[in-house]
Amino acid sequence: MSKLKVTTISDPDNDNTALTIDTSGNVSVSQGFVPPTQLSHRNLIINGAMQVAQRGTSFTGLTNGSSEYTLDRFKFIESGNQTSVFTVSQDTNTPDYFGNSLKLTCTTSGSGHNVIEITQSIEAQNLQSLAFGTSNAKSFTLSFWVKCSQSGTGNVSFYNLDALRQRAENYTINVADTWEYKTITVSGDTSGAFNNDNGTGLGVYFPIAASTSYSSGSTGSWGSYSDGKRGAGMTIDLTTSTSDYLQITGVQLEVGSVATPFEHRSYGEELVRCQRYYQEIEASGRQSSCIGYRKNANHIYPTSGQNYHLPVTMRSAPTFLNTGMPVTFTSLLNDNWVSTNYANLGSYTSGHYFGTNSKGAWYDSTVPGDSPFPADTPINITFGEDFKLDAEL
Amino acid sequence: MNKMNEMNIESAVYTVDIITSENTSITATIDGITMSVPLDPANRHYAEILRQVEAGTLTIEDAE
Repeated sequence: MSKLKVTTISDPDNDNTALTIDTSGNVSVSQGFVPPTQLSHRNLIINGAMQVAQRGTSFTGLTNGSSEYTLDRFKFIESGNQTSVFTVSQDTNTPDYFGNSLKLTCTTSGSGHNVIEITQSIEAQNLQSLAFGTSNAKSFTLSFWVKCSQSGTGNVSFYNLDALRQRAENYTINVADTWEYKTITVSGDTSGAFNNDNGTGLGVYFPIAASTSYSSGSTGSWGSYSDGKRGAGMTIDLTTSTSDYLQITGVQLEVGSVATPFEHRSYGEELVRCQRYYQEIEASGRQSSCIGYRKNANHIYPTSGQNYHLPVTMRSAPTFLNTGMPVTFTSLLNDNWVSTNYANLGSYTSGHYFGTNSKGAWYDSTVPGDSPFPADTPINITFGEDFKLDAEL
Repeated sequence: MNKMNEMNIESAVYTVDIITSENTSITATIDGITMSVPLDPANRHYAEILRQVEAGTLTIEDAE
């Protein structure tokens, strides 16, 4: 070990000052600075600090058949016939420098699962900087904070859904009930490219339990998919006791072989990123304006509708998740307010429909025969719920 | 096939525009939730519907 004490570093040819170091050790850069990786927008994971929870902050009763998104961009996945039950929640117990974590708690112990995971999928076009599928494929590094009720070996698996290539890695939980920082560096895959599109590129999976056949695979290299890699090498099993839990936060996946400090983003920035995949549009209780009528060659229909321009363009045309909502039509007829209630719009396959594209959502109604309103009557529409739009991967 | 993201699709029915008679979307019940699925191949629900139709395990019914 040796120490170099200097106050100035200059280039050898022209003696241009490149760096100066003051008496406190502060470094000033005087010339151009060329980092090996980008200085901002490094984190390919969205909502890695678990700030955004548009769907809610607690998801209970997660068991067989209940794979679903929880905190934004993070999905609970189960495979098999598990009898264990879990809750996923946004928690305020965190390591320093974070405000939230994702907590997965076992509320009923059980068995029967193949694998139980928390996952995030990354859009393929956001992964082009990795140059996978070329001779210049780059390594990436996953870093995260984890706290678990059990010590032992954990697993993270990566699945390239464009090339159907998969890799598993292990990490160690040294001490139970303690926040620990983990980093995993993964070499680039020269064989499996990511499509340059808006589909799923890479899935990142954090299993919390895996059966024998789902934990017997290999780790440390890219290869074809196998069930055994999904929990390869892991020893923790959070289905055994109602005191079992796992918490994660500060999840970052970045190009390069070094884990840099977590790239904190404001809540507003993170929300916008999340809204590309899921949005809720305020509509409940609002009376929309209405709209006259439409006609074709043979009929005139009383028609109403409402258009919503989305604040963030979504990844694809989104699914309208809650078409089963109630809606009330109201109009003033002969100085009397007249209403018609539709208890479940999802039960109609014509006359009412919810339309979407990546930039907007609309409800359209054309209801001959079941409306009391004449063709040219203005109608107010009152929605029973906010619109829930899903363009997740 | 995405072996990590399967859905339980209980029913799928086309929704039609009553004026044009064109299919506008699919009303589907997936994992117990009734939803309106756009006819966009990039949409994960529509992609899974198409996959299950191709596999012969699902039929999209015409609107009544």
